[in-house]
Amino acid sequence: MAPIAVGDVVPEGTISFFDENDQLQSVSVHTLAAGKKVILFGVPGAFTPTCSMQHVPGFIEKAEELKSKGVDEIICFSVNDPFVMKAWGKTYPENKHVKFVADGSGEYTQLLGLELDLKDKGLGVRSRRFALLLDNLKVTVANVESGGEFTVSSADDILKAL
Amino acid sequence: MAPIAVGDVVPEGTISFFDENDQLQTVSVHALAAGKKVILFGVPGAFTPTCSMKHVPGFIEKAEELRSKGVDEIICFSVNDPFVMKAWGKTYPENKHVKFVADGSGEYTKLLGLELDLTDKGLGVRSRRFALLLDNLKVTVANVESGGEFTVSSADDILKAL
Repeated sequence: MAPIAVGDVVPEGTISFFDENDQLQSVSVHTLAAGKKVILFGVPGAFTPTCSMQHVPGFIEKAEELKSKGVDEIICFSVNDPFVMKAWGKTYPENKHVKFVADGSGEYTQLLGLELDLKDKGLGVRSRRFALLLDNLKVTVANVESGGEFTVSSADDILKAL
Repeated sequence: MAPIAVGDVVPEGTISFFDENDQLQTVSVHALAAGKKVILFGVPGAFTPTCSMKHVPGFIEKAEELRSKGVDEIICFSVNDPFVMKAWGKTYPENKHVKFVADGSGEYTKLLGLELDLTDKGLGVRSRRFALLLDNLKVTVANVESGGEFTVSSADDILKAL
């Protein structure tokens, strides 16, 4: 699949997460994002350094500001299972708005065309680091890192685009 | 691969973990276990309920007793990446002896013949719950759960066999 780009309609697929009542939810991306302004940002791995110490905290800190500019949902996405995403989310007790969701099988990452082969690091095939801004399912911003960097996909980069 | 059984030599393969200096180590199972009495216990997933609240704590509590009976190493094993295993291990600050290692790609689990398909739960193919006692690489105890139970693979079950 070619990497997702500005102008595309975000692919339909399912992602999962544990809700506030600890129930496992498997939801359609289109249902989650239709009619809304949604930030979907992807990380290579829960509990990995850049993801944990820079990428996620940036979105947690800027969440209020992003919401004040019309963003309805901020979704953090990784190829990890929902138990791991729930545990990782809990390490940010100050978090009010960022949802941690799981692409446990890596299928949605493939639909986005954003796979990153990290097998030699013991992680299998993961997601690239990226941040997308979706407006009623249409991609209006697509910031995808080429490798391990963290240069275009932060909360600040999305703020500039709003 | 047929499931590992008493009398088998444990297969050679690699597992990985972060050491005390936070360096990623990729080690040969044979190098780790040769000449020693080793407990290798497997769990379907880091941060999942039975694994986190029953199986692992049992081995942490009984670690001293197991070591007093000649066990050299107690290794907790799962199909998760080493970052996740490191984070999970840290949730047990009282742990002195149990090592948390990663079979990130699930390959070693396949060599053991102990795969468990949890794809419909969003976890992909994982390891069955099990506990093996190895004596210089030879399997002397092989307690493998059939499904999601926790009836034969606890620390107490291994203690009875020592």
